[in-house]
Amino acid sequence: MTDGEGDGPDSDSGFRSRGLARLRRAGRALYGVAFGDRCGAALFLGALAFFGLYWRVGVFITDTYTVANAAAAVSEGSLSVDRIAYGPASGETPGMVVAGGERYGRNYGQVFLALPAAHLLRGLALVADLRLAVVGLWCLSLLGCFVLLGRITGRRRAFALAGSGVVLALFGANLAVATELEARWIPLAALQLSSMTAAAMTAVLLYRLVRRIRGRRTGMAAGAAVAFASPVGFWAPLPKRHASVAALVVAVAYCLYRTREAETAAGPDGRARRRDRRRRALGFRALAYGLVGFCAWIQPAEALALLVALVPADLLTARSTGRRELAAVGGAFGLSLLPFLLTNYAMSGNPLLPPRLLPRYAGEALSPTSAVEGPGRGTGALGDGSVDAASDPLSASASADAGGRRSAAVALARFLGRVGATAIDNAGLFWRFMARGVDALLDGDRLYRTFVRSGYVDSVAPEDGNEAISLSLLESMPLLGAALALPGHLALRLREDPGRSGRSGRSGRPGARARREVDPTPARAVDLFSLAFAGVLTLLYLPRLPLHATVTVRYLVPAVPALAYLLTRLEPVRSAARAWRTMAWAYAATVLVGGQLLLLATLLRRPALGEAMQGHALLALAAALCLGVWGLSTASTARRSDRLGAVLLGAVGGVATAFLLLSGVVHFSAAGEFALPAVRVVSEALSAA
Amino acid sequence: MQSRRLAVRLTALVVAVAAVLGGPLVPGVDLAPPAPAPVSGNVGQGSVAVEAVAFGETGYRLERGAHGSGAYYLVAPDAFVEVASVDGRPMLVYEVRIADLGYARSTTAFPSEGAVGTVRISLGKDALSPERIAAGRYRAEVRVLARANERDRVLDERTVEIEVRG
Repeated sequence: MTDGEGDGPDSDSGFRSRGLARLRRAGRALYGVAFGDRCGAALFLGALAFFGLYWRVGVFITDTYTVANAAAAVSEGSLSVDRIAYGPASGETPGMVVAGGERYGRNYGQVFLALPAAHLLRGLALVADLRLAVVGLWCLSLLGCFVLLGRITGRRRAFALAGSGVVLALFGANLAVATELEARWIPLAALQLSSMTAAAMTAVLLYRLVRRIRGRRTGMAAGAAVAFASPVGFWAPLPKRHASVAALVVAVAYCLYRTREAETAAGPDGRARRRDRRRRALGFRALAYGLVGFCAWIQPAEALALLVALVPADLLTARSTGRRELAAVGGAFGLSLLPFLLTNYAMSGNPLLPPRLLPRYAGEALSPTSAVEGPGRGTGALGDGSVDAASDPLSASASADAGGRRSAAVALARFLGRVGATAIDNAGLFWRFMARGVDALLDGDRLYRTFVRSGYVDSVAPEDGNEAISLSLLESMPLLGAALALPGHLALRLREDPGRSGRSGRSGRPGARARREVDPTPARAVDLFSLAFAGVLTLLYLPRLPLHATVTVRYLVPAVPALAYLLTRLEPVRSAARAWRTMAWAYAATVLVGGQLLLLATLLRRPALGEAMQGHALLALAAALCLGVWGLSTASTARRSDRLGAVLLGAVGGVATAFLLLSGVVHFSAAGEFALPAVRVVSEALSAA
Repeated sequence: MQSRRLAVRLTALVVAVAAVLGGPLVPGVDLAPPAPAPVSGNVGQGSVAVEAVAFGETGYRLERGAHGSGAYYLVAPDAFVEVASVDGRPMLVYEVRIADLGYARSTTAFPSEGAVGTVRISLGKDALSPERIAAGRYRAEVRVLARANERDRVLDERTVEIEVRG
């Protein structure tokens, strides 16, 4: 890693004017906050370029119509869905709800997160061709990735020249076969763009978290695994909420780590330094809770799962939780809940009643106000959270007699009573979900089908058109096979621990412990949080699993970065990942050679969709099994084979990458129109060959 | 300026300029034209003169999907239609109907105007629930139709036997 001039996205010495210099400083600060360092930025751009390969502008699962129509409505300045931009004109799509004679979508947090992307695309469409702008953005992220890789490896010239050549060639190829991308796709494409950004940030944040604990290379491996070899990559270009929630989960984990790190940091003392650290600890702690509150805007049940995991992980490992801390954390949480509460209030008049708990829209007549086309309607205007009382059934009776002060007080009391009742109802609902989840844990067949082997499941496949496309968790993320290294990890710990306490950190394998002893508390807090979140999320959804249209158990996707993090905590895995060159070569060989063999098999055998997916599933299981056997073998006291582990980790990651590429470009090519025209041509050629 | 920096900047510039050139600011340049419809013309209108039709008497199977995918897939030999002339945009339909299962599968070809020669139609794959397959053999009606102006003309039909495998 060479440190040249400038770490920022643009290093040039030509800046004279003060304003520009300030702008540049701000840019650099933003760059640091978002990516941490060059490796993070390279990972981000590389992940975006990878997702772009199988970005299909279109609807993959029918409830996306609902969210996409909500996105179109919000980008036109209305919360309620008055105009159906996508899908059946009746608007009766799964997830569409009705309140006060208005039609609403759901996942409004995700919808609002996509607004900047929508504005970006709209702006680009004003000055440039939309298709070429999308292709151009993809090309620039690839070019940026090349430039950064050049800086990281210290071979700037080679990477810059090669990158420029490759990008120009790819741009030319796309230009030659470009077709129009209609502007009506902008709200949907914006949802996809923001989902890809979230998925790439998931990788970056995991990299930054693991880098702090295990170093840069393990961090890169973990981040890359999430983007290129996990279901997060599968769902990245699809306009669903999963990637966004995954990003929030790893962001919470990162903040939790930073707050514990600041609390426990040793070092040169001084009052100012100490105060600085305390302030930082408090800031990250508040931010962690703030992110949980924000998550409620996207999916309240998953946010509650986050909270249920975060609170014990935080309180059990905190150095102190005083009045100051509680106030900061509570304040941040309350503030971050505001968008969620206001949106709910604007819809139903009840801030704790999210769209998911509102009655489903079944084609009933909408209130006359919504029939009026045009900008005149004030109801549900963005941000102000005001709602017209007449169209609000819950408060209609209350506001009808809201004449004097007394009746206002009565109305307020009723309102608070209703909100309180909803809070109790929601807590009860969550508790019932958990209880049912615990029951479901006893159902062996369910667990086997959800986590290990899918195949043709009688209750699932008929809903997927009889195609067995909904894979198990292990089939969609074979790297999880490395979890079987847990006994090896524990054995190692047991062997090391007595020595460590006796000689304060200079025992164990020579060299490994020679570095200064790090306080284990921050990492343990994140361990606890990751385990708890994965557990609670599983309990939340297990009663409904296995389920159709989940492809890679998409409900559990938010837990994927947490699981990837936990893998890096296993000593044998980390030790194997130290042979990173071997790992990288095994990965590249598997993707390049194995991927082509898989493609060849697909072309020769012309499998149906279910056959193709189950083929990938079996391959992934075989890969996971090899990794698992290696993992178990690490428990033996004989010499561990790190090199074999590195080869296996790389190869298994490669199998997962090949799945992402083939499923995106070939098997599920019908999910929409490819954003990159050249990929469309390749995909068509492959399906016609 | 160093060559690497120049290369990177030129690349970015080319990309940006091309995107703007194709955009609304520069009228008359359309670098990304609307995609042609998959089947153009007045679909289903016109006529087709057929010389011969050929499809297999055997080789029809219901095969269980590979890799534990469970469902059954109907496999049929391709149909060949010898076309003498095409006017407009008529359709050629290859259809397999299994009455006992209440199941029919068809694939349509759209020969283009003026096309002469052999049109090959492969029956598309779709999945049947294994619960529906009770017998070891089924009888099926296989037909090739010419469909134009909302009228079907049967070019050839035959009853075949379908073997269940797996």
